This record gives sequence, C-alpha cells and structure tokens, in this order.
Amino acid sequence: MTRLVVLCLWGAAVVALLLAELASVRSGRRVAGVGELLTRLTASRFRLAVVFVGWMWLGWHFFAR
Amino acid sequence: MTARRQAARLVVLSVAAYGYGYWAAGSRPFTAGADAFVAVAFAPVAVLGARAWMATPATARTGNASRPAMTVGRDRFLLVVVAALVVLEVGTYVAGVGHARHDFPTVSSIYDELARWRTLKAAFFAAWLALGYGLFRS
Repeated sequence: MTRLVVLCLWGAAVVALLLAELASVRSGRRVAGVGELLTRLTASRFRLAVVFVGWMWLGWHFFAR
Repeated sequence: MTARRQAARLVVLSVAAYGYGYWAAGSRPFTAGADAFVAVAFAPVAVLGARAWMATPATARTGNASRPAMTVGRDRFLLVVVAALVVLEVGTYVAGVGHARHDFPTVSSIYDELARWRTLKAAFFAAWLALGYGLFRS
C-alpha cells in the first residue's frame, strides 16, 4: 500500500512537471518551463561545469554502475 | 538552417542516440563494457560543453531582452514542482534506508525495475544523451 502511494506521488510529480512545461508553452514562454530552468542552470562557467559533472555522474550512476 | 533540415537532423540524431543506447543497454552494469559505453558517450557532449564554456560569460547572466530572470512570483509553479521532486527523492531515500526500499522507491530503484527491458533502458540512455545535447549546445 505504501509503495502504491509513493508511486502515485512520483506519477503526480512527473505530471506536474509536464503541466509546468505546457503552461510555459501556452504562455509564449513568459512563464518559465524546464528549458528555461536548464538555461539558467548553465548561465555561468561555474554553473556549466557543475551541471556537466552532474550530467556525467547521472550517466555513470544509471548506465555503468 | 531551414526548418526541414533541422527536423531531418533531429531525426538522425534521435535515431543515432537510440541506436547507441540500445547497443549500450546490452552491456551489464559493473563491467568494463558498460563503463566504456558511458565513457564514449561523454566525448561528443564534452566537445559541446567545451564550446558552450567558451561562449559562456564567467558570471551568470541574470536576464535578457526577451525574458527577465526567473522570479518566485511568476515562476512559482515550476519552482514548487522542482522542490517537490527534490523533497520526494530525499524523503523516499531516507525512508527506505534499511530494508524498506520496495515500499519507498526512489528514482534509482524505479529506474532499475524499468531498465530490465532493454528497449526502455535504451530510451533512458537516449534521453540522457539528449539532455546533455540540450544542456550544452550553445
């Protein structure tokens, strides 16, 4: 039962993320979407380096380890 | 580049990413083969990252002419969703420490279950490559 509730929470969070992106598209990008968030995350060299290391870790964690 | 060429390029890149992902998905984790597949995938994105690095200012841009910086007021929904995802991941991780991981699945444990299907694992691999491409193409 607990597992089902947690999985539903994950599902709701993913749907909410999709809705946020949809709201951004429908507003003509006046409201931030996921792409805008990622652009902000890589807006300086330091942030770019951190995000790059994070991206590498993601691949290593899920596909190699 | 015309819209048609852009679309064709997107299709070619997507097919190549999925094909490589399918190939990589056949490798077993914790082996040199799996390490190699991931390491090879780093290379093209590292090139993009280096180019983005050259094109990026040392200090953060806070806004541009077409869109000002993100604000809590206007972008509240997205920020709340991202915060909820972080809380959910940390919360389920902490709650599942010990032997309760089945009851409190994290992103990793959900992925582990889905990645038993090679086609899905290939799609995740392609999505990871697409994320790298999207993040670092300048």
